[in-house]
Amino acid sequence: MRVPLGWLRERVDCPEDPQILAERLTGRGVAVEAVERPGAGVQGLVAAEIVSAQPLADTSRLSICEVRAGRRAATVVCGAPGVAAGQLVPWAPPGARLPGGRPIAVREMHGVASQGMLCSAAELALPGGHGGLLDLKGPQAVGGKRLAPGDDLVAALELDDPVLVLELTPNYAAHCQSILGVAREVAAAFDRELHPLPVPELPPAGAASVAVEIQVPDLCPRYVAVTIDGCRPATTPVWLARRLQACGMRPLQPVVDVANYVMLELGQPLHTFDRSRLRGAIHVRAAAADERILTLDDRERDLAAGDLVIADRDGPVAIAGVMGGGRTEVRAHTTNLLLESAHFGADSVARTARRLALPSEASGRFGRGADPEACRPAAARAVQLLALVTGATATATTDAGPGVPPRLIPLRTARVRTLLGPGLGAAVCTRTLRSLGFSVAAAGRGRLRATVPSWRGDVAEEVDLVEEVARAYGYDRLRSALPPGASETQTPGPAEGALATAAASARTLSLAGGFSEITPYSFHAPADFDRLRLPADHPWRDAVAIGNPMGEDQRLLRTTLAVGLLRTLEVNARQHRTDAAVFEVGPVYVASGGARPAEPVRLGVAGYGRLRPSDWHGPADPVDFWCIKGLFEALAARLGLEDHLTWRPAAGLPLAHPGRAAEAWLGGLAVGWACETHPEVIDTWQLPCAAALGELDLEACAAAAQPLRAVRALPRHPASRRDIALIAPRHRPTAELSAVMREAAGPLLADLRLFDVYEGERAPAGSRFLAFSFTWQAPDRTLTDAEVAQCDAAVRQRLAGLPDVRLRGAVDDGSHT
Amino acid sequence: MDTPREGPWEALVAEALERIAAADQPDDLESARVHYLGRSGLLTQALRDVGRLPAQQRPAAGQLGNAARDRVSTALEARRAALAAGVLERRLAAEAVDVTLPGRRPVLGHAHPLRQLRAEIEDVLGRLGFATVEGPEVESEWYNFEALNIPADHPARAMHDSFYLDLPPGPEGRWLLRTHTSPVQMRHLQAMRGRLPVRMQAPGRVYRRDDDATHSPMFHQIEGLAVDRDLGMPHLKGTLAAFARQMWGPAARIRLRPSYFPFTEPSAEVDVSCVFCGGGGCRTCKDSGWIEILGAGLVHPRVLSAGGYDPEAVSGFAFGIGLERVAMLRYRIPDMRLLYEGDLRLLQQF
Repeated sequence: MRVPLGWLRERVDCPEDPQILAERLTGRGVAVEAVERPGAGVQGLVAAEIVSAQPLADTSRLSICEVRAGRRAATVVCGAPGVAAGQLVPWAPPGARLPGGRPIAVREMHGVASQGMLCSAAELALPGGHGGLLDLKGPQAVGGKRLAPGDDLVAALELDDPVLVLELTPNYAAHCQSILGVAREVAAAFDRELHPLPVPELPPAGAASVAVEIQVPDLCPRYVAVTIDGCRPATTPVWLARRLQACGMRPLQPVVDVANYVMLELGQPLHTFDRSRLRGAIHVRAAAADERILTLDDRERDLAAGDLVIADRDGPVAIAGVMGGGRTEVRAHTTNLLLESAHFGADSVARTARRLALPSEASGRFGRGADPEACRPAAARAVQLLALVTGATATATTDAGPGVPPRLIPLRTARVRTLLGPGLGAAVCTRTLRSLGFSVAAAGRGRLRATVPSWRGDVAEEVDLVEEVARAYGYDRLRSALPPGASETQTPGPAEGALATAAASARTLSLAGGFSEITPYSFHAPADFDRLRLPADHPWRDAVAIGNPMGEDQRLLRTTLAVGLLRTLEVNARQHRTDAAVFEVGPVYVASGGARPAEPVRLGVAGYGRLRPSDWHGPADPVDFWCIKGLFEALAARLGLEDHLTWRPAAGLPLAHPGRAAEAWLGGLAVGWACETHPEVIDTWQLPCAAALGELDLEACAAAAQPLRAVRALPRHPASRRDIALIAPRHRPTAELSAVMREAAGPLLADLRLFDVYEGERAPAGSRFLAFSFTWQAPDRTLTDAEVAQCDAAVRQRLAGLPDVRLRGAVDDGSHT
Repeated sequence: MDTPREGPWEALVAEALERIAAADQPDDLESARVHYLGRSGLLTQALRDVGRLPAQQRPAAGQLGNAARDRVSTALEARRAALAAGVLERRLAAEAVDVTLPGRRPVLGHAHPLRQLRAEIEDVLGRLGFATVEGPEVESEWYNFEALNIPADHPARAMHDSFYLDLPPGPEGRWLLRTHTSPVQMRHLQAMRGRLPVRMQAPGRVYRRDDDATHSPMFHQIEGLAVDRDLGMPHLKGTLAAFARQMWGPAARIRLRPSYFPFTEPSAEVDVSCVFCGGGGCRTCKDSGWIEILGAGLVHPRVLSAGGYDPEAVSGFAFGIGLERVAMLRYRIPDMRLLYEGDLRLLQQF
């Protein structure tokens, strides 16, 4: 809603400084977004009469005019067409400024000293105009006054009037969508009285009355129809057109402009019919399913059953509160009108306007709830202005419908004290509500009864009254206290649950491991699956789609963190980064047969290059398969799952290098994967080199987590170390060998560590050297050399039994650790 | 043998001290020690000779001799220490490094600003007694709208331009990506089954169809909810004032402006005194001295009812904070999209 300040001041006294007004209104919930000054800078313009106008010699277009403005007279050269003696036009004498601040001076034109300029509508930033000078004859000044030569135009036409731009919330949208509504708020805020707006009485019903039959009083409780005769062709007065323009509406045609003006002023949308084209009585009814109507915008529209329409004998002539019909449209030569000022139900109008995609100033007001008591005053105001502008007179009024009874709401003062604080008793409630137009009466012990003013359809129950009291009293004046039992220094409780712990560990370890955190979008493009080389039947493709995405690249809810990770690497590669390492802890969305998708939280890690650029200390660790796997292993260890997490070569990971991809398993559950990228993926995502990435299901990990419950006793007796070196086929997984050795080692094995893998030239073809370090230890004694030798021998014996493994000479440094 | 005199001892000591002082290598010092104090060293010999003196002369001579030997061995020890110190000094000098070279830093990742902020707010609210609760991002229309007093025809639904999913509707209506964290209020109220007091915070991702420099289709909120007997606007103000002090320092003040949310009434937009100018007016606060930071209000009775609480018996307040807005203000991030892109040039600044 845009509120020209001059218009507002007609109804209520406002502070001189619009900023003060804006702040006070905002403080009451009527948010003023901005104070605009569209005509800022304009000054010194006056109305002037052209006494004589002669073509200027040697020019084709220019006229030399003698003008008179009060006691001033001057010669002005003018280039506008149609200049003639007797016209009353705007004159910007030397020293004046046009809107925007352009200064006017004496100008030498073809040997004539032109004393300023005569102005068109456009030059004054006013609507309308036809290229010629602005005609100031008629009721052109604010309030329909007539101008005389010498009159100050800046004041008379409100050329520098500021405009308040309101950003209304849905609950105040209804009653503040008019000058009157805002004036009521101003009056309440500053404890002022509204200025009256005297309008003539509407004529009574009579011979000219048009019958109105309301078939659906629920949807139309009130319908005022006024017959108006004798409209003459006219132009919309400058002041009225300017106010429409300042409110953001385009002036169109005098009758329509008046209707719009009254709507802006009083909040009541009006409609005018060309009465010569109406056939018979007005019926307010629900449309039939197969009905159609040609609307004002020249479009044939299908009505839906239940749409509220205004119809005559021949069918619908308007979609109630939404748009008029073309058949009865008021045109330039229309002389007899039927003016409609009715109250239509908010839901019905909003629904129809939405379905037809026809938002309008009228449907916006009805749709938010108009004032049912505004029908008659608005009609009377329109009649008054139509008389002024077109010379028409109202002949008869039909006032149909039961109306809307006022709403009574009880208010418990104890409730107000609870919700708003002690001290807000009956007196405060009564005073604040009355300031907002409610009538308030006592209704027994601790109870008041408020009668809601007709323009506050949004106030429906006790809590709405509480809010009205609060905002009228002032939020800033309400007390401030912590809730009982709360303090600023309470110790926060621990984050709840195993998942929170696992997620926190995942973040901590990833950060400590050198990975930076990202928060990519939860959605991606279907084509991203192709960029991961996924076949058509890959399970990741079973993604939930967004029905109304903002673009194809946001169509699917992610089923894997891989897309966001790779996209981030792509972004960084584009910056020519040689190294990147990122992670995310976040949900994926797993389709579950049409029901709500599951949202398991995962850790996703990815990078390329090294953990950081090389420096003079040397290169940092590479971001490779081992880096990802190691991070997952560390997390598993943190969650007590070190001995439970197992790894297998991964199949079904098409984005991966087939030889550098593994699945992580917890018991019988695949919980994640780690890999380096397939060469095609490197190309598709334009990465500078192979990237490594992986994903781990934190919910599965959290479910299996074994938090530390009791520490192991520290060993009190020294351990012995023995190493075993062997030659094994290169494809033989070391995890298998470790398992075999662990089993053979028995209970005295404290630690088993693979400390060397050699696949170089000295190893026989297809084989590699592996070296394991065994730590032997007993909790209750120092092991003798013989006992250690026995353990060592048991492992060696088992290894010797494996056909594809060969032991390399015993290494026994005999050291104690 | 003559009567013992000081003379010969003095000469011997003087000679020895001179030689000790001249020794500048540990080897020279060692040969000096052997020369004077070794088994057949000069001083050792002379002391041995004392034994041959007449008995009455022996004590005095012995005293002089012992004193001479002590002086020499003390000098030897001192010189040895000095030489050792010199060696150490040279070694340390040789081992010196250019301390202006860059250190070897641990390779650490950078926590995302939104996560850092979320942790900070979670901690502050946690201290005020609000326990963290999470809820699903895919929500039904009932939880996202109806239960929060936003019926199908309500104009507020236009404020939430939502992402609906291609899934068959369930008994609670269509599925959508939640447009705010408020549905968690409802889920938590239901889970609490009427117990008091309720004090929860719900951080998480939310989604709206909006995409420009200050809007993103995905963003983050933290929701706070308190329900108990006799809670009202003063408690909302007190809690938010405490929150503002903890977040932005003891001088931070709050201002409430009436506003509208379907799930609270009365509702308020809450401003915090501008952290950049302290309220005096600057570019960031558009010269108002205030920055709009969150929305809040008293829980609407219908929301309490939907959550299984009797609005006649209990009341409460709720508030919601947009994390992105706070992060962008705090770090002067010009474009919200930078927060999701993952450009490490930005992330590594945190």
